[in-house]
Amino acid sequence: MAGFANARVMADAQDAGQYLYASFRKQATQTTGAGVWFDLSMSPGNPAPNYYIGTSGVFTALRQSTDGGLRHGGNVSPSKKFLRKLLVMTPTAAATPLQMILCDYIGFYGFIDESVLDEQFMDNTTPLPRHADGVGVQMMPVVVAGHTGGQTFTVKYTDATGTTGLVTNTATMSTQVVNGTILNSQQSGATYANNGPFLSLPAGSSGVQQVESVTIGGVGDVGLFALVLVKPLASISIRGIDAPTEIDYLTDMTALPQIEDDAYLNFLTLPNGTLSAAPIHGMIETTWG
Amino acid sequence: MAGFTSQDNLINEVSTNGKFYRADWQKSTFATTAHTAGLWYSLFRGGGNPAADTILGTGTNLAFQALKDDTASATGIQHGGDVGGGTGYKHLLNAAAQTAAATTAPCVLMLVDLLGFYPITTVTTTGDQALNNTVTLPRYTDGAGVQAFLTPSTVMGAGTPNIRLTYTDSGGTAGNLTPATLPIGNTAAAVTSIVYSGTGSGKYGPFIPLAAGDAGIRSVQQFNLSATYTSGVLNLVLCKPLMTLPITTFGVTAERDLVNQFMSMPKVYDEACLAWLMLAGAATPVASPLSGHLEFGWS
Repeated sequence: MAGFANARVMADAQDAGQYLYASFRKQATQTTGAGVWFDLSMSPGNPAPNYYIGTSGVFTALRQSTDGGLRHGGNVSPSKKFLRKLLVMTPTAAATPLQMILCDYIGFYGFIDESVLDEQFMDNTTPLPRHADGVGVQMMPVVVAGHTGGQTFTVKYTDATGTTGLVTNTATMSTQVVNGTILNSQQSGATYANNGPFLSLPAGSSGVQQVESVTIGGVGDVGLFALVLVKPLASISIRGIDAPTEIDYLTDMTALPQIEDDAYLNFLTLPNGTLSAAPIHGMIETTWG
Repeated sequence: MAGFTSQDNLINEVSTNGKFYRADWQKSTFATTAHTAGLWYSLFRGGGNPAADTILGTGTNLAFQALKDDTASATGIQHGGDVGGGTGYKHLLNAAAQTAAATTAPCVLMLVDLLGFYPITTVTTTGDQALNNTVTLPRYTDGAGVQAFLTPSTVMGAGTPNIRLTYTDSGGTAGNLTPATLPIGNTAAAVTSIVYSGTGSGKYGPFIPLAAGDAGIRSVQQFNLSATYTSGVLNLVLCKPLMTLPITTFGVTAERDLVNQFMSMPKVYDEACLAWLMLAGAATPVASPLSGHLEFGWS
């Protein structure tokens, strides 16, 4: 049966080569803001940046095999693959402290126009490639063309129980406008009660199967955003430039997050200053059995 | 039998059987309440994901209402649904929280299972007011470990009344009284604040003190204000504290491994309504965001 019956079985799997070390380096060019969540997938480095290229309003799946992302090894089904360790560090003081969430980027609805005040309906012809039941899946609006900020928006969606027509609580667009900014994230402010990194779901809703429509409020804005569906997998933070951070997700944070076949992995970050020109180096280790 | 027989069993359950759930949460401090250093607050009414509750302050005056993860207008942090048909439980394996909002750190977060509340609109009435316990605790039904706190859903008026409960403890003994020195309410206590928290005589936090030897509250029979609170709406909330998580530094994530680091693996029962209480260590602006995650495993 896939998975690990005990620690011995896991160790044996590692000895048998069912284990991968992979390194990454992401180096943002964007000037990020303190306390504003930022999508590191849009930054240069290794793996190459992701630009959320797709047809406007149409769900586009993201996969390791076609889009890249952090390398985590090939498909292992019928076995299961798990995150075993993460290591991150930066030599740039301005980038720290830095919170990072490793996410499975399932896919996105591209180029949603902030100037259109009519309800914008999404195309779900392409199904979710992973986490199709929507359990734990969150919505993350990412700026892909700058704007002014301050306008509101809501998203109508189908949740993990299959209930249709649910509407998020009203989010407000950030005044931080560089590409990669999480649209509903602001360091603080009374109009940003439903702050990022993810959109605020109504009471009792714990995940998203698909997005039905987006409605921009107020007078609209000039920018564009991608509405990304992600499954958060693991968290890690860089505390300073004096030491890397390592987490063993078996012995330090008993969790063993599962990585599905062909997952597109990347990081969502919470900077405390600008990440521009700050290299984020790291190592990801996965094991399967 | 629920629970884990060994660490190997835990590994097997979360990896082979997929009995694992991660909940990412974000809560902002209340949109109109700046936090004062040294006071406790509830983040239940703050916006975010999950959104602000709109249930406190509603319902029949003085009548207990139970709270569950799927109660309409209650917005507990979702934890993946029932795992034991409504009577099972998960274990909290890991927790983390951070804030990058100015002057929000240091603070102490306390994760609680909100069991229910008595709305109290008769805040000008002095002396004992009888509470209605037709509805009983939905979880921790014997009251073991259950605590109480008092928070407004409408800002309070002028007044600094002493606050006293008459309650039945977790051993089933009725008629227990809040011991002296009684908690003293803060004048004009803000929405989401815990009204008797702060520093000085008569200040407690976050929970109303119990009589010597008591370890929990099964139900509350009488609520007593010594003087009028002039206006406002109070909520006497019963909860089970699960864990604390201190955020020491702006931008630095607080992490808790509850298996290996702080071995406790708190139980989170089916239908638990999870929320955070917060001890402000600094003057904190309105709508300051905090975020993090909770990770659960079960057998």
